[in-house]
Amino acid sequence: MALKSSASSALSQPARLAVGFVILAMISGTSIWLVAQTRADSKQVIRTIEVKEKLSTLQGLIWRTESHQRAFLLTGAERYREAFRTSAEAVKRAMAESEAAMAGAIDQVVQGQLVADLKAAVTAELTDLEEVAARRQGGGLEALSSMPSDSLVQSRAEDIRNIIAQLVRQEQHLLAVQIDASQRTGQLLLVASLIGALLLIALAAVSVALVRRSTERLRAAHKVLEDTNESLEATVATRTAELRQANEEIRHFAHIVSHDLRSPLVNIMGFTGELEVVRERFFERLSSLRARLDDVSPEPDKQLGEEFNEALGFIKNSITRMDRLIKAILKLTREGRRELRMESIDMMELVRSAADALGYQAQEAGASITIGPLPPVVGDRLALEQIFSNLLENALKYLRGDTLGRIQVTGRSAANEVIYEVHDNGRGIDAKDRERIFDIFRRSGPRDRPGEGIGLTYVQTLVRRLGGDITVRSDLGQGSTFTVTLPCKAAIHPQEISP
Amino acid sequence: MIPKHVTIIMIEDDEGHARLIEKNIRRAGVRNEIVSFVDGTSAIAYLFASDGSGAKRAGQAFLILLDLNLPDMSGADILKRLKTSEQLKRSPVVVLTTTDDQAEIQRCYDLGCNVYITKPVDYDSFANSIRQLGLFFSVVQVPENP
Repeated sequence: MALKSSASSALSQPARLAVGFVILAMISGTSIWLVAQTRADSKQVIRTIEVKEKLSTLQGLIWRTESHQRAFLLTGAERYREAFRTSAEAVKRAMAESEAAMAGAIDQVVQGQLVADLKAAVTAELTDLEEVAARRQGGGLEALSSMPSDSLVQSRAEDIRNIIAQLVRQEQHLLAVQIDASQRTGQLLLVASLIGALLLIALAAVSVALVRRSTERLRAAHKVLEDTNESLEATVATRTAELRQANEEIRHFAHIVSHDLRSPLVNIMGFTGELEVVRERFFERLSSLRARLDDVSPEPDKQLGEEFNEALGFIKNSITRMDRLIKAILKLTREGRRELRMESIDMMELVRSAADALGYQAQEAGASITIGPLPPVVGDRLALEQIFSNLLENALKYLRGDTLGRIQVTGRSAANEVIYEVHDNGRGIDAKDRERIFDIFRRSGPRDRPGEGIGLTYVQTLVRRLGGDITVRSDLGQGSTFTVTLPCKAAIHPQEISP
Repeated sequence: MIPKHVTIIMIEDDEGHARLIEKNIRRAGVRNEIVSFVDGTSAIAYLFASDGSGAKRAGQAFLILLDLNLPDMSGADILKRLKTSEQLKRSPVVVLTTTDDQAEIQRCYDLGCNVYITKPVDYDSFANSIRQLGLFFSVVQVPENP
């Protein structure tokens, strides 16, 4: 469950991050837009001021032109005529400048119309002023009197002032509208940014909470895992102790049983011996009694004696066998209890001496034992001696009569283990017996060789105590190969399987 | 030859073993009386008599054959009582048992046993050992109980 929820929070984490980024981008965009807008607003303000200034300059210039013209009309002095001309030129320039300043206006329709009106009015005014001035120049003051009376009085200056005032108002209106609009947008954006910031904070808070929760869960899961580990170790230790104890009990039991079995066996053996003594005395007495009775037929006595002997023979054989089996069990249990002394062992030398000890048997069987190069091993010398002398003895024991016996011992090193093989060309082991032969008292093939079925059990016990394993490959009638695998640095296994 | 009045006390729970031991001791030529007990209680009752001090056994001489594995008590307990008894402490005690545990052997000698013999498990050596023990009995000196 903890795993599932952590997976879901892991899924939502990128989503939360993406949302956060989008909000951040929006806030940044808004800020940039606001800056740009402010810049545009200030530009607009500057433009408006510029336009107003140009227009007022124009107004001033028109008034000046007019007054220069009047001065000329009154005096007829050439310098006023010249001043008038210069002013008129200045008016034209100012008009062009005003027009240019207002060219970027937003409301082109209203503004354009007003500008056109202004231009027309200014042009007309200048034309009128020029015309009157020209007349005064040509015909003196008299020429002026013939002019329509209102042409002098009624100046266009008023119209121009009006148009300029309108234009200024218009310009100011436009500015106000624009600033108002941008302010509103700015406010909206500010609100949006604030909401975004709040969202970001909320998101961060949620993320922190989620991270804290998942960390909490992780910590809890970790704790559970730790506890499980600890209890697992404890469980393993307990089981190991139990196993060890059980094994010890089995060994103890086997030891006690074999000891206790021996006690009655001593009686059986002892009294069988006594019975033999009694038998001798009995038959002596029988023959002496028969002699006294002049009974000359010893046949029934002889038959009785044979039956007696047969029965005693079976009893004694069975006792001997049982004694051997009990001894074997005792040997195995004792081997299980013996402390191993691990040392580095030259296996060539060890196997060689084991083979030498069997030299007589090998000679009898006409068999050869070859020992290949064998890697050394760390192990218990006595155990290894027992293992290989048992395997070699078996190989010699179960040779075929019709072939020359060849027994080979080979060895090799692998990654963490050393492998030894004892190969023979003897009678082999039936497939169905390949596991059984390691069981105590179990043997394979015809019972024509002496043995109790203990050797391989013993070997297996020893190999396992050394931390290794033993397996067998065999072709029935062709030979067998026993493979002993031992760890490079043999570790003592206290819980070997013992009978 | 040990004097006739020395009594061999055999404390052995296995009657078969007791009989075989007796037979083989006899074969060594020992003719002394052998008194057998199959448990510790009756043996103690006999040795220490009714008052439990062993004073009634004054003037008698015992040679004690003791098995350690008894049904009712440990042979070592009997050994301890014998060797701490003022009357019986000088009687030779031969521990004859199946155990060959070194700790057990040491303990018995510490408690004052005179000879410790492990019963051989095969009969031939068993019979042989007992016969030798019988021969040993025939030469050993046994003091009388005070």
